[in-house]
Amino acid sequence: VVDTTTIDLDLLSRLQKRDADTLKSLVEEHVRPLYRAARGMGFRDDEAEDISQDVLATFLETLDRYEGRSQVRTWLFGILYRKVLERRRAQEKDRRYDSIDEVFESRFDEHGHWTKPPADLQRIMESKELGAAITDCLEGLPAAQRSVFVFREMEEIETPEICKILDISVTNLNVLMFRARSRLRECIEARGWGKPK
Amino acid sequence: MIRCKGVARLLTIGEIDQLGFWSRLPIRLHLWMCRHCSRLASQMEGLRLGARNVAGSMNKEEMGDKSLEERVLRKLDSG
Repeated sequence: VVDTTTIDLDLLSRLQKRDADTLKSLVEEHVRPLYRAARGMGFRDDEAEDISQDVLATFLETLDRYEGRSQVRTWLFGILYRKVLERRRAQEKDRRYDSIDEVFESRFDEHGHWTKPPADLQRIMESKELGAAITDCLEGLPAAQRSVFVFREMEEIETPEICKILDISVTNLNVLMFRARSRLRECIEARGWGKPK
Repeated sequence: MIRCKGVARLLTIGEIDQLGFWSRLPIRLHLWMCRHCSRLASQMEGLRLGARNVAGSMNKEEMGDKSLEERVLRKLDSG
């Protein structure tokens, strides 16, 4: 059992040789705590499983750097922590500043009431031009926002499946959807399609 | 009390129908009272229907071109 003891040289050697029994023991001992921790850190079920597997893979790849000063569990959880930070950073990239957020904010006062209400787009919304307008405005969407919009609104794929396809959280998906639909609406309004002829 | 900005954000995300009854209720009441948010709601619904029509028209174009399947099959066979 590869639990709370430090790794001895024999065990290290067996792991480096990918000895099947030792690997099995390692996985059986540690994968559930890693999974639980990942879930506790807010990752979805599939993400947590993926992270746990990734942690063990990294552990095996970096065995040569292990100096035997910490317990296996500590070493594994250290890797887990770094993986979590990596993933959070990757998710943050999609959440970083987007000018469309500012456009949205500028439409409201500090109390959350409209200062620039949406223009009347009734004419375009009810006309055959809407399809052309959407197709045209889609060109201005960043790739991730466009993908989410296409999957959700055009292909009508359910949210959980899109999250799996794009490997993103529901929160992240909502941010992308908000920006995509906001940008499309602003685009249609800005191009004057809503104004009567 | 839910404000226009919060309602507009939810409408723009487009997941209001996924919310539970009690979460949806104040939004529905707000939409009933606020013409600006109500207008936004109509626009977002229009955007959704418009996007589906765009997808439908693409589908029709593809279905009209029956050689697509044949082309793909040929490529798979030759691959």
